[in-house]
Amino acid sequence: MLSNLFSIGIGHYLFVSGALFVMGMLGVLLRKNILVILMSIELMLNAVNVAFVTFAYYLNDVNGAVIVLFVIAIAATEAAVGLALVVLLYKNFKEVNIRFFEHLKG
Amino acid sequence: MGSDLFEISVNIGKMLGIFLLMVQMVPLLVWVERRGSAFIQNRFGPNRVGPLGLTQLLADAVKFLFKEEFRPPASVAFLYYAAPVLALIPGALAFASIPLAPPFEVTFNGQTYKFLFQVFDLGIGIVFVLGISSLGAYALLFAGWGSGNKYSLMGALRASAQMISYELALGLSLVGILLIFGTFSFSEMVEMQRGPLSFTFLGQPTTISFLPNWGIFYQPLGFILFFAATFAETNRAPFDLPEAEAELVAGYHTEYGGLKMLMFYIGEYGHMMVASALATTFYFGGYELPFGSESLQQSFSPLAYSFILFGCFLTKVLVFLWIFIWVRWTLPRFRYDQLMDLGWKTMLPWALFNTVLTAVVVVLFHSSGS
Amino acid sequence: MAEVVIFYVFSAVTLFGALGVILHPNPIICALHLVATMCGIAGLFFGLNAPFIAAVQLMVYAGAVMVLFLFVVMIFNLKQEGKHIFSPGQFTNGLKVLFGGMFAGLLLSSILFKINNFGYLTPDKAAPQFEVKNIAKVMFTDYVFSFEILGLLLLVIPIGTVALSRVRGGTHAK
Repeated sequence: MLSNLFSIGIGHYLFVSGALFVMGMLGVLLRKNILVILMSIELMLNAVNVAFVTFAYYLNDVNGAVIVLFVIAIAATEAAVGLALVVLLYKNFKEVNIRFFEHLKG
Repeated sequence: MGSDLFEISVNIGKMLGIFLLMVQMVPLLVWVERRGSAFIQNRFGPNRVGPLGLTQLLADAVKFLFKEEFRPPASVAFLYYAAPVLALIPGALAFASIPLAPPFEVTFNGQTYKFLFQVFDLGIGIVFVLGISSLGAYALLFAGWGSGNKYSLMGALRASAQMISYELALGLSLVGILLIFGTFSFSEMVEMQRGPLSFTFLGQPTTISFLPNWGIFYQPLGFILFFAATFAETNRAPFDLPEAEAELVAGYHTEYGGLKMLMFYIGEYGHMMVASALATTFYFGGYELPFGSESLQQSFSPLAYSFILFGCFLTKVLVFLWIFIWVRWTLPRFRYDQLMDLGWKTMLPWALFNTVLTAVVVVLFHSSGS
Repeated sequence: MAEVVIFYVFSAVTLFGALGVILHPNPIICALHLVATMCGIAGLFFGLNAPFIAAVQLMVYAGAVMVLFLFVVMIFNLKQEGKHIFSPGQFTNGLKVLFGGMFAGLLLSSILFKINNFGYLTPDKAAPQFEVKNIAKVMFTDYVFSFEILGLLLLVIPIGTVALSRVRGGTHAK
C-alpha cells in the first residue's frame, strides 16, 4: 500500500476525482445558500472532468479530452444562466436561502 | 523544469532574470511616463533630482519603502496582503513564456544544451498566456473586497466586468492570427515572420520584397482590435475606469500605500509590458529584424547575434510602451456605459467579422496547402 | 519524481479548496476556495500531460466563471450566514450526512481497493492524445454535430441570460 503512495497511477487521480465529486454532492445536499449550491455543482462537473482526462491519459484515447472541452463550455453557460437566475431571485426577494423558496408561493 | 541539475538551475536563474527585468523596467517607465506626460502637456516634469530628473526614481523608491505599514481596520487581512503579491504573478509568468531572442547552443560538461531566451517553451503559448493573464482580475477583486472600502469595491467590480468583457474581444481578435500561422507556439510564430512578405495569392507564390513578413500585413484589423483590447485589459487610459479618481478616489488601491502600492504599480506596468511583447510577437515579427538578418547572422557569433536580436525585440516593446503612455496622456476617459458599448457592440462584432473574413481568405488562398 | 510532487501538491490544493467551499459560512470565502480548487485542477491536468486543457480550464473557470461568481457575491454583499450554514432540521440533516457519507465511502473505497487492478494501464508519455491538432481533428469529425449543437447553445444562452436579467431604466433608458 505504501509503495502505491509514490508511484502515481490511475487510482490516485480517480480518488481525487471521486472525493471532489462527493464533496460537491454534499454541498448541494447540505448547504442552503443558492450561490454555494451552484458552486458545488461546478465542483461535481470538475470532478467528472478530472476523471475524463485521467482515463484519456491512461487509455491513450483522445475522446476524453474532447468531451472535457464540451463539458467546460456547457458548465460555463450553465453558470451564466444560474447566476442570472440567482440575481433575479435576489432582486425580487432579497434572499438567497434555498429554504425560503421551498413552498413556491411566489 | 529540465532534465538535469544544470538545466534546472539555469531555468530558475532565467525566471529570476525575467522577473528582475520586469521589476527594473518599472522605475524607468515611471520616469518616461512623468517626463513624457509633462512633454505632452507642455510642462517640465521631475527635473530637479539628478540629470534629467533620473535619480527621482531612487528617491521615489526610498519613499515607497519607508512609508508606514498600515492596514485599515475594516479590511480582511489575508486578502488585503495577498492582492499586491497576486498582481505581480500573472505578468511575470506570462512574460516568462515569450521568446525574447533566438536560442543558441551551449556546451557544458561535455553536453550540449539549447539555451532558450525564455523560461519555458510551452507548445500552447497563446492559450497559456490568455489563461494566466485572466487571473489578473483576482488581484483587483481581492484588493477591492479585502480593503473593506466601498470605493475600492466599486473599482474592483468595474475592473472585473471590464476585463471579462474585453477578454472576449481580445481572444477573438487573436483567432485571426492563429488561422494565419496555424500554431499556438510563440517561437514557431516568430520563425514564420522571418524574411520578406511572401504568401500564396490565387495559387501563385507572391513575394513583396520591400515589406517584412509580419503579422500586421495579414491582420491589420485584428491588430487594431487586439491593441485596443489590451488597453482595457491593462486598465490603462482611456479605459482606466477602475481607478477613475474623479468618481472612485483611486479605485481598488485606495487603501494601499507604500510598498504594497508600488507592487500594484509594478503589476500594471508588467501587464503593459506583456501586452507590448504580445503585440510585438504576434504582429511585428517578435525578435526578428525586418531586413538583413542573414548577413548579420553570418558576420556575428550565435551569442552576439542573439543579443542583437534581443535588442531589436526590446526596441519594439519600448515603442509600444511609449504608445501606451502617449495614448494615456492624449485621450480622455470613457464613460462606463460607453466602455461596455464599445466592448460588446463594436469590438466583439468586428472581431467576429475579422475571424470569418480570415477563415474565408485562408480557405481561398491557401487551399493547396496540407 | 516530478509527477509525484505535482500530484500531491495540486490534489492537496484541490481537496482543501473543495472542503472550504462546502464548509465555510461566508459565500465570498467559498468562492475564493473554489478559485483555488480550479487552479489545483488545472495543475492536475498539467500533471496528466494535458497542458492545453489545463490552460483552457484556467481561462474559462478561473478567469471567467469564478470572476462572475465573485462579482455576483460581492454585488449582493452577503453577510455571514451565522451558525446554521446547513439546512435546519436535525433528523433530515443527519440523514443527508449519513447517506452522503455512505456514498462517499462506497465510491472512495471501491477506488482504493481496486487501485492495483489498474496497474496494467501504463500511459504512453509520448502519445499525442492531448495535442491540439489531434483534439481538433476528432472534434471536427466525430463530434462535429455536438459541436454545432454547442454553438447553438452558446447562442441561445446569452440571449436567454440577457432576457432574464434585463432591467428597465438605468443608463440605457430611452
